[in-house]
Amino acid sequence: MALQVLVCTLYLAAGLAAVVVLRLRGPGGLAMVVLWPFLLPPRLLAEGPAAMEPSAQAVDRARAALQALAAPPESCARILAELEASLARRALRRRELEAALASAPPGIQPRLQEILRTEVGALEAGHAVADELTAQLTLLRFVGPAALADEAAMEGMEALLARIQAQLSLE
Amino acid sequence: MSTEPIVVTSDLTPLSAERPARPPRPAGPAPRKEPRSPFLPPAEVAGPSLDELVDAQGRARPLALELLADPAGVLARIRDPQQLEGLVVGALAVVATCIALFAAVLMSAHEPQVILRAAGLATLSVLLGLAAALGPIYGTSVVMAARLPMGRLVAVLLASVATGALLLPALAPVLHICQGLDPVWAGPLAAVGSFAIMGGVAGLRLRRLLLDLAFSAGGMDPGARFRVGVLTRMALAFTGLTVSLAFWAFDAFLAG
Repeated sequence: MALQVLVCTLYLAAGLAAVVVLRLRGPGGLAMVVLWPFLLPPRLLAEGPAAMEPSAQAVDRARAALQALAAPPESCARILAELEASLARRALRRRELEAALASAPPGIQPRLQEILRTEVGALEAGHAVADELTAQLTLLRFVGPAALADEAAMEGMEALLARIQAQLSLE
Repeated sequence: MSTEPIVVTSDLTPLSAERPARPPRPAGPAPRKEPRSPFLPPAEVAGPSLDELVDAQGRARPLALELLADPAGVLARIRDPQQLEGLVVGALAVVATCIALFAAVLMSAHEPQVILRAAGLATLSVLLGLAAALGPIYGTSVVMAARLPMGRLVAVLLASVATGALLLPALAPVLHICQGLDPVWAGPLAAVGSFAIMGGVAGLRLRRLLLDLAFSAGGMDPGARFRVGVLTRMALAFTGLTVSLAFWAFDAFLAG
């Protein structure tokens, strides 16, 4: 009996803490405390704080997916390292551009802003490619080692690696 | 035997009498408007359709109608963050009401407090099982690199279970009759069969909603389809496991 009371208290306390900490407004405060597993996520999606920028960890996720693979395809680790170096270069250039933009005379600011936009777009495209690599590596992990010998299963992976290499060689 | 020719005459309406002029017929046969039916093309049907009537009133379609018959409408609600909470609250109410009603019918031979206890515990079991399934399903979606935002996952799961739960009141009379006929075999079998039908419908709707949600976001290559398929099957397995564990733990249908 004491265990049930403890569990119920913890459950209600978690709901109360969520309502108080997140300062959720709107109707149904009591319902939110009691039914928080169902009501809290939609409310957060509608009006909660913005989620953390997901793309910054895209390369880390891809590396984790690669390490989880028993027999990763060769050249994958090398391409991922190249991609990471390229993204780091771009991030550095973006910071330099932002610093230059802050101290630039007004005459050249539009041009600098245009360059910065291009750079940010390229950076986001790189993060998207890393996310796609994560997805392909996850797929390989769950399809199993037989997929490495299966040409149809490896087709998407090879196409993606070729695309990344083509993008990297263009820089 | 008479050999005279037969002459047909009519005393009532002599042929020479003046007749009122008939209105000129249209060239083709006049299209006759019929009530709406699946056997008739839309051109021969009188009046607007049910959907048009509901739209003309400017009201939102009832949630129960969308849950039962219109997965696309449910999908539109899931994709709109402002409507998401309303969908979740409505689906929660539908699940709680239908399960409590079914449990009351199942235990209707007992005293009122036993009926109330069964209704409360059955609702609690289902809601607890669903809440417990959310975490593992979300974890699977992250592991499969097919992350589904928690708010949408809650809405998808509750809407599917509400679709299944809406069938329970319709199955309750069958259960009541079976229990009256044979409380040892037919009654429990009808109860289990009703829950199986509910679970099957809810599972099919869950699969449909997850796949449609992924397709409507665009960019579903075969690899993504594979990952979403794994997520769908794992969602079914987790939900079935946690809901049955919750039922087992609470003994909702034991009298006393």
